[in-house]
This record gives sequence, C-alpha cells and structure tokens, in this order.
Amino acid sequence: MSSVSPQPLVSVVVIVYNDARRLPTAVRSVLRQSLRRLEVIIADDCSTDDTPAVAQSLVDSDPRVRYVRLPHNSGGCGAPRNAGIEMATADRVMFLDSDDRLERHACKNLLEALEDADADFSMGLVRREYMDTKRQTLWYPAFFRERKVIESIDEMPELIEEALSVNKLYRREFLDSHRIRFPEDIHYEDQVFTIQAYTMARRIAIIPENVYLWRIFPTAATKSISNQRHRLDNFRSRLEAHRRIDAYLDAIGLAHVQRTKDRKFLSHDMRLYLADVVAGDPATTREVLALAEPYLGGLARERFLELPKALGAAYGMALRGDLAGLRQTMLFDRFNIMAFTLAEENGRVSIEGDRASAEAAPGRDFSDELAEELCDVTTADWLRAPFGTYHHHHEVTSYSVRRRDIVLRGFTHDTLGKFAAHNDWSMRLVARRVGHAQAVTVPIEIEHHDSNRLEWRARIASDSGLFKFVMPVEWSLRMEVTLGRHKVQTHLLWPNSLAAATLPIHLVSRLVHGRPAELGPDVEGRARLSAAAQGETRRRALRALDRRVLARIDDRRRDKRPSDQLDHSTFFENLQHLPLDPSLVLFEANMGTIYGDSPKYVYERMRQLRPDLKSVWVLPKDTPPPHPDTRTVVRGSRQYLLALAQASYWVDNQTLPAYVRKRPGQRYLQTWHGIPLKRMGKDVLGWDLPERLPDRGIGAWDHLVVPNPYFAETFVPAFAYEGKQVRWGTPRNDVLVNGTLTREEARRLLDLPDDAKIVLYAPTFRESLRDKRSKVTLPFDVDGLLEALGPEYFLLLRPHYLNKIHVPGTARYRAIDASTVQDVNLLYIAADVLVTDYSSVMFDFALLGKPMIFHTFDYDEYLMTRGTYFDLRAEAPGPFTTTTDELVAALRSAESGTTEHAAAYDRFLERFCGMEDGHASERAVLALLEEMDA
Amino acid sequence: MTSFRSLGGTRPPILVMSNHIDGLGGAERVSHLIAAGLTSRGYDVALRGIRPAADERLTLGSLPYSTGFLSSRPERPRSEEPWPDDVRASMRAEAVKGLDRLLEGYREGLFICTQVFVAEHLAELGIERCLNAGTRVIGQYHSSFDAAQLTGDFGRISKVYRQIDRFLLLTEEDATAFREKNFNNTGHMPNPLPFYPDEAPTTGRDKLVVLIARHDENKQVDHALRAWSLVSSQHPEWRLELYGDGPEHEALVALAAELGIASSVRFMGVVDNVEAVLLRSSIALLCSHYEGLPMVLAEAIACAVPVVTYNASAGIREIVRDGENGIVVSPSHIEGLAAGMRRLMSDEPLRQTYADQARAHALAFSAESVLDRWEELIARTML
Repeated sequence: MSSVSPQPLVSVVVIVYNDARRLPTAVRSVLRQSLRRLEVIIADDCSTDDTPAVAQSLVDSDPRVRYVRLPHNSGGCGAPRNAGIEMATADRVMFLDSDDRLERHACKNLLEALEDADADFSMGLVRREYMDTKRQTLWYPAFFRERKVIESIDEMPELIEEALSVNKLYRREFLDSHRIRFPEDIHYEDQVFTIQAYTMARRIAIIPENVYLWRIFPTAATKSISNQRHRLDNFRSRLEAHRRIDAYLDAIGLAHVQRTKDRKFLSHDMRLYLADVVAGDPATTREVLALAEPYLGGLARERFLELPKALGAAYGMALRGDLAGLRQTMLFDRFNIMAFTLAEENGRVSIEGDRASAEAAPGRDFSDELAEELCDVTTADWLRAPFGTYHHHHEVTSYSVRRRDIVLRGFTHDTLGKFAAHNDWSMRLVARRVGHAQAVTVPIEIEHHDSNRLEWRARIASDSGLFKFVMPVEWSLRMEVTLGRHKVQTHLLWPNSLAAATLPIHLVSRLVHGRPAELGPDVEGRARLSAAAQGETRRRALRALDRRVLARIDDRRRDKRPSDQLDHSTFFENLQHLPLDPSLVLFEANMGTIYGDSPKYVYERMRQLRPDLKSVWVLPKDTPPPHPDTRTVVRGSRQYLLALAQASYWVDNQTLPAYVRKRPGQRYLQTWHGIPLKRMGKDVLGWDLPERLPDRGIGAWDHLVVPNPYFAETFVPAFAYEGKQVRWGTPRNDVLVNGTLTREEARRLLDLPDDAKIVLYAPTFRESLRDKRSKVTLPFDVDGLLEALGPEYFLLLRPHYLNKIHVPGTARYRAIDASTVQDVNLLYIAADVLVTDYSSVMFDFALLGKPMIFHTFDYDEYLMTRGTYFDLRAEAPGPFTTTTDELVAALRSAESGTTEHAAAYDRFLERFCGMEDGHASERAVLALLEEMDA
Repeated sequence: MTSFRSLGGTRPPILVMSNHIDGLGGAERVSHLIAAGLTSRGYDVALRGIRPAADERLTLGSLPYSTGFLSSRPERPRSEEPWPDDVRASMRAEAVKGLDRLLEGYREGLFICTQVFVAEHLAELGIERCLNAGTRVIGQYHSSFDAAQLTGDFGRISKVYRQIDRFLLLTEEDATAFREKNFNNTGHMPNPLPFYPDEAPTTGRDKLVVLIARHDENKQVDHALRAWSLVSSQHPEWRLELYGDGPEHEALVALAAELGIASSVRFMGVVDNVEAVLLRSSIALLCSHYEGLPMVLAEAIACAVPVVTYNASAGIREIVRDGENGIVVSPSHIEGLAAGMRRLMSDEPLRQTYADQARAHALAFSAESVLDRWEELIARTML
C-alpha cells in the first residue's frame, strides 16, 4: 500500500457481536476488494468474547481499518450500523455482517454504477451459501438479470420485496438529507430502512454482478421449545416492523407501494410461519394466528384474493382457525402435495378443510365470508392437473412390530380421484438411503379403498435389506405411484400427533446387535428409519453376517463395473473365447438408457416372428425387463460385456462402447435414431472419420436402417458406410402409420384430458449446455403463452435426452415434463401440434400430418456451430417464430387449420421423411436373421 | 458516462505484456498499437514479450516505449521438434522469475496481460499476492465467448481471470456471456484501428469486391467463389479480388476455374497496404466460419466500404449493422451472400448511404476513441 492514504471512496460498516472467529474473514473480504480506496469500520455491539482483541489486530494490520464499540449491547443490528454510519468518512457507505463476505469486485462495481447513473444508491445480486451442504441459491435473481437504472420506485414497485440493506451502496448525503437510519429497538430493521431508501431515492442503479455472499450456517433443529418461543418472538418483531412500515407509507401517501408491501407480507413473511404447521407444534401455529389476526384484518380483501389459489386457500383456513385445513393447503403450497378434499356445489369447487377443528376467531364477519371466497378454487388450473405434475398425500397412521418385521399402516389421499378413473396404477413403498443412491422397495397391501382415500399396510421385513448394515444408516421412506406412463415418488409424512418409535433391534434384525432402530419424522415431518451398530457389537455383527448375506454381497459385486477402460478391453477380449450363443440377441437404445426407439420395435416384432430366440436388453440399473422372459444388463457392467461377447445378434440405435469388438459369426443391425438436419460425420468442419475397421465402430455395422433416399444421400456418405441397407422406413415409425395406438389411448396413458389441446415442445440438443447440471430454460415465456392460449391448452415438454428443462413452478400443472416417457411415439400421437427448433423429431412427426411450428430464436448461431444439410427456413413446412407472441399466433392459426404451409408440408414429407409402410420392423428383423441363416 | 479521472486516479506506470512482441501476428500488432497510443497520452509504458519469437521477427528498433523479454531464450521454430518437457519447464521457470523481478517496479502500477498465457505465468507467482502488493491487473481475451467454450480456453480463463481487477473482452455481448458465467469483473474494449483515413471518397470507386483473408478452412473462401459465380454473369463489369495466401490456395484457384469465373476473379497474394486496397474497393466480403472482432471489417468501414458477411460472431454484429453499413446473412448461406452482393452492386445510391454510415460507425474503433476509453478504464482501475 502507498504510504499516503487518500480520502476513501467507500466506507464499509462491518457489524459484529460475539463473532471473533468469523470477523477476520469478513474484514479481509473488504480489504481485498479490487477497489482499494475504501475504509472498514468494525462496529462492535459490545461483544463479550475476543472480538475487541481480534478487531484491534485487524486495525493494526491495515491503516484502512477502524473500530468502534457500543457502550451497551443493543441486541440488534440497527444500533451498530447507525454507529458505523456516524464514524464513516467516505461519501458512500455500505454494510456487511461479520459472518458474511463481500464479493471481490463488489465495491468497485457498485461504485461505478452509482457514479455512472448519478444514483442515490446502487444494488447488486446476493448469493446465499448453505455452509453445511455448500448449496448456493440466488436472492431475487429476477431483479438483477441486467444492468439498469430506475428513476423512481414507481417503475418497479416489486423491488421492495428485496429488503436487505447489505447488498447496496448508499450515498451518505442521501441517507443524511432524508434522515434515513436503522431503527434500534426492533429486529427486521432492514425492512424499515430499505423501504425508506426505496421510496426516497430519485434514482437507483441495479447491477447484475454478484456483490454479497450471505453465508447460512446450520442451526439446531427447529423443534425445541426454546426454538418455538424464539420463533414467536421473531414473528412479533416482524409484525412490528411491518406496522412501522405501514405507518411510514401512510404518512408519505404511497398507496401502490403499500399494495406491493402487503402482497409481500402475505406471500413471503407470513407464509414462512404458516408453513410451520406442516411439521411444527400446532400450539405455536395457533399463537401465530392469534398474533396475526388483527394485522390480517387490517389488510384489503383484494390482497388475499390475488394470491395464488393454494396459498389463498391457506389464508382461508387460517382465518377460519382450521389448523387441519391449513396443514393440508400448506402441504400443497410448499411441497406440491395435494392433501385436501374438494367439494362441489352449484358448479363451484371449494377446498373443504376440517371445519370441526376450526376455532372461531374474533372479528368473524370479515373473515368468514372472505374465508369462503378464498377456499373457492373453481378457476384453479390444478383441478385438471395430470398425474405426474403433483404429489399424492401419503401419511403414516400407525406402526407395530410383528415377529421381526415392522408393519406400517397409513393412508393415501387421492384428491383428484385418479385411482378411480384409471385401472393401470400401482403403489409400492421405497426406502431410499439418505445421501446414497441405494433403494429398497417394499410391497404394500391395500386394506381399504373408497373414492378419495386409500388405506394401506406395508410390512418391512427384517431381511428386506434395510438392516443389513454395520454402519449407521438412515432411510427416507417414500411412496412410489405408477399410473399410465408416469411414476412419482413422494415422501411419506409422519404426523405430529404420532410419537416416534424406538424399535428393539433384536426384534427387527438378528444380524445387527446394536443401537435400536428408530422410526419417526425428520425436522420437516417426513418419515425416516434409522439403524446402526457400533463398537464391539459392530464387530460381533460383522462376524455374525451369515452365508446368505455374504452370497448376496457377492452377487452385487459381480454386477459391478470393471474399474477402467483397460480393464474393459482385456476383460472383453477374454470373454470372446467363449462360444457364441446362436439364439441370443442383444438390444440397446440411446446408449442403454431407455427401452424404446427402433430397437424396441425390432425386438417386439422379433418376439412374434422368432419366439425361439432369447433377448437381452441393456437398461439402467433396477429397470424391470420389458417382458419377464427377457434379461436386462447395465451398460458397462461385466454382465453386459458377457452378453455382448456371446450374443449372435446386436441391435442398437447409436454406438456401442469403444472397447467392443465384433467377431466372425456376429451380426450388427444399426437402426440409427433420426433423420439428420444437422451435418454429421465428415460433413462437420474439423471432423475426420476414424480409420475403418471391420470389427469396430461403423465398420462393424452389417445392416443400416435407411428410412428414405435423402438419408441415403446424406447420412450414408457422411459416415462412409458401405454395408447393407435396409430400405426404406423406420421400425419405430410403424406404429405411427398403422394406427395400432390411438390418440385416446395415448392421452389416457399420459393422463391428459381428451378435450385438451396439446402442444408438444421438442427442441434439439443444446451444444453449449453439455453440462448436465444446468437446465435448459424455455426460449419462450411459458406462463404468458399458456395464459394467452387459454385453459384448454397443455404443453408437453420433451427436451433432448441429454438436456434437462426448467419449468417455472407457476406453469407446472399445464407444462408437463415428458422427458421420462420412454416411447416418444406416445407423445406424437397424443399431441395436436409440434413446436421444435431443429430436432429431427420433425421428420417423424410430419408422418402424422399434424401442424408443426419452428421456434428458432438462434437460427444463425445454430447454423454456425453445426451447419445443416438444407435450409430449413427455405423449406418451411410450418411457420417460423422467434417471440412468444409469434408463437401464440402460430399456435392459434395451427388450430384453425390454415393451409398456408400445406404445399411446403407435402414437399417436406415427400423429400425428407421416412418412406413408411408400417412394415419396417419386419424388414429389419428379416434382414438381420436371413443373413445368418444363409 | 461519468469520468472517473476526476476522482483523483493517478497516471500509473504501465506494463503491457504479450506472448510475443516481435512476431508478425495480429496480437503483436495490437500490443504495439496500445503501447504506442498510451505512450502518446503521456503514460510511462513498457512492452514485454515472454520470449523472442521463433520464425520471422520484427526488429524492435527505436520505439517511444521500452521493449524486452522475460527470458532471452527464443521459442523453438515451428519446423523443429518441440522442446522436451524438462527444457520447457526450465524455460518457463526462468520467465516466471523474470516476471517477478519486473513486477517490483509496478507495485502501484498497472499490468496489462493481453493474453491468457501471460496471466498463467503470473498465476505461478500468485495472482492474489501480486494484487495484494498493490499492482492492478487487467487481462484481455481476444476471441469470442463461444470460441472460449469450444477451445477449452474457458477453463483456463476461469482459473486466472476471475480475481483480477478487470477482464476485458472485445465486445459487450461476449462480456455479458462471461458475466452470466459468474465473472464479476468483465468489461469490453475493441482493438484500435491502425488507421482512420482523413478522407474516404464514396464516389468514383472501382467496381471491385474485395476479400482479405487467409486461405484456410476457417475463412471459407470457397463460399465467396461460389457466391460470386451466382452473380458475376449479371454484373460483367465487376471484379472480385482475393488477398491472402494459405493451405487452400491451390484448391481455390482450381475451383475458380471450375466455376468458370476465372476471368472476373483475381488472386492478389498477401496484401501490404490494406488501406490503399480498401480505398479503391466498393464492397468488402467476409464469409468465415468463425470470427472474433475481425479488424479487417473495421478497417473496411473506416475506409467507407460497405460489407457483406456471414453472421459469425458478436464482433461482426458490433462492426456491421445489417441494413446500415452492410448486409449480414446466415452462416453458410451462400445464396444469401450472393443476394447481398447483388443488392449492393446494382444500387449505387444505397452503396453510398451505407458507405457514409460505415465511416461514421467506424469512429468508435478509431485509435483516438479507443485510447480515450483506455484512459477512463485505467483511471477506474487505479481507484
């Protein structure tokens, strides 16, 4: 540092109370800012630990650090922050808590934004980091998407929801001239302070950069009595802060800001406490409701009525004092679990709740009528929610120990009557090991079933695998419901009224003699089962493992993957000395991830034509076989290599692993998975085909399914394929032209209404999103689209199988993630119209003659990175759209059946789509087998 | 924009460093332009290369700023086997040590890394250590965000450019793309034009389309020839001149003959005086598969030459405004390229309008305005 310290440009006030351990990290995050001309003011709320000494050493370490200590502990954040402001010598000030950190460039970025816009304060993005799990979330990211300047809070009143004081750089003169300071006598002082700043500022600069790291340290479980007391005090403070804000807003007469603030109170502040009802003590919730009652009574009816339907109904229950109903509605609001019962009367649908449990509250005139209105959910879109978009409510009612087994009894609540309307559903209990992928399934018995309620019994046997651990294990218990083509797993709830159980271990397992097993709720009220053995008992238990268990472990080992590539090659080479099995056929699709695409149809046809052949399918672990007589193996496992080495026939739609070699006598049918639009193989710039060898890669293909002449002209030369061609048509498309699957059946399997308009959105693989953890955001405004189209529209979302798609929660009941549906034909047949960008889905979908729309926001960039065989825009078998409005218009005109693109559609069908006669599967089977028989 | 110079930023000594400073490449040229420009504005500038280049070399004669290298051992020529690993490692260690010594003089100064490789040398000394000692660091990346993703540069950039005071991209679009990947220090700065002619008449030019690009796979010069074959017969008085050389050259000459356009296409070899060529031309063409901020297009608009190009990068979009100073068509859309040329060739008034607007737009890339931006940036960085 230079010897002369120039006038600091920013003062950062770091408040601390008894946090000597973390203070240095916070202060250093300021001293290491890319803005050097700043000062740090440590404002100590009269700590009793080492804080003064630690602060002094920080002062000594850098001339930019100063220290102030309050004479008495204030117990809050307001007093120390105010003291810091008074000490500050810079013209701009910001705040930091001792357990958090500033992002390295925070001060520089905020300073530049403040000065460039000549604003009163500037604000940036907050990243919240959960210190136990290292998970990170963003705080109100929507406000910080782009750099902007607003002239007044009127432009963006919703901004006041973001009520932190720490992520902002304030002009000192602005704070002084409006006498904005933190209240010192209450918690939630931020909320009062920021609302003043927001409403007084004549210009606010918003930047997209992250400025603040809010570090969240794990706290003790929320169930203890002191915690519940603390929670109530907390709520009182929050109410008080809101009362002061109301008084302030009233005084300055900003009605629209008041509306936004009230909305925030209901949808954020109060909601946090309502959610406690799910797993907390009902007495606390009752007290919260009593405290809130007068305040809620002062809010305008409209604020309640404009809430999302589920949360609105929760307030209805709260106003009624119906705690059971409140829990049911909050389960839906918080966890998407439909736990309530619906009543229909005069064409109105309402949530029933449990009036018997309701406790009359004072001021009922207001609340009774309003409560009725709030519980009326006639217009909620989730009344038609397809199965798979929400969770059923599964809850334990009792448990017992029979011999050495645990018997759980419980109920499943079926609000929308899905079980009555379908006959192809099933349920089983799944115990998932917490923190592991391991899962054990337990069958259930249905003991009673009436219209909306189902009672079941599950017997967790002592030898079911849950207790065969010598390490402490914890299992989360879930119910898995399969209905049609959807499968949903949901946590089993454990009610507050049911005591947790301690099960003597000798009763449940003779293998582990240790700590007793525990069965009960976690902090969120979800059922958990834990078992453990320790110390000497653990060693004894290890010795006690009987031969049966050892044998099973051995089984599991045998299915383990060999550890590396080299191992695979050597292993595979050795297996090739085994004799070929003349009747074994191996099927694989999408690199062993699904039972579907053309291999599925070749398989099914082969079973009919040659029932004497044996099949093995490559599928993910624990996937049931498509038919009981078919074996399954996991890609990359030893069993997989064995099957590949011994099978006489291979059927695949993509590529087999690089270490696989074909030997004489084996036949390989390549069905491929799509007609190309994108350039492939050697037509891709900078791509060279590998050397052609007859036992591997493309050289190993004996037969290639060639759907049409266009494919023969593009794909075949691009990969320099020289083997035999199975012309024409595509096995998986047989079903599209021979009508064996009807639209009604397809919709029934997807649980979609017959009268709905269904839009299938199937975009292609996104190159830059190869990172699977990041989800693809929809390139249109899904809420706006559904709103504009009307309630009869549903969206089926089918991303490329390597991508995941992000659906906003508000659209979840009508924008359905269909990525787990294995057979894409089902989606084509169920849909009324296709929206895609460049996916080869278009070549199959066009066979059905239904309209197609091309939503291509990045046509140019896409062409640049991939390149295409023809100009899709010139062929235009349907309209091209880039904005949501254009897409809505195109969908509307698709519905009205305009013929604008009819000629181009026919041309497209003729030139690029498969020549399908419905017999492609058969041709493929015969081609593969005849070759062998000859 | 408020000027931060008024907040009392000082005029620091500046160290500009590139991989090479004595080669013939574009990166070297830009480093010299910046060093010379900042010197002319009164800064004390030193330009350093990591080591002397291998093949053809510029002589670093009497320049107004000091030049030199971290290590005097030159790069191995491309024609020879690369150095063995241990030799490379010792050469690198020597360079890093040289950098350590050099930075002593920049405790309150500014260090501009024009390339990621330079910052990787700094990383061996510890970027944090260097910043804490008071040196401000600016790092540049001269390709696009997409290129960084495709080439693997993204990972390298992530390691060395997150902490430094400012990470500069060529265009705002690229800066935004990096910011969305949680870089909080991005900014953008175009490279300065080497010339901005005092006058660029828009009338009386030759009926000449010009393409200045290396003859390699990425530049897709064959697209230009194919597009030309679609328009040349209707415009017999127009010519296409190709400047450049490269591995595809023979194939391109053959293709021109095969397309029957040999009489209207001329292969001119490597160009010495770009400015003179552009001042004669009526249309500039570019049909690359991939680009960053192609200076040849900025030079074209500075010389009042409208452009026809593929939409191949954010940089291209920043220089060429479709329908204002040129025509931007979809990548690999050869018919589009032809249509764009046809449009401009058959409409002289339109060419003139575009030419005027081109010239005005090019001001943003002129050395003077780019240096103004550098000065403002330096003032902000030194706070």
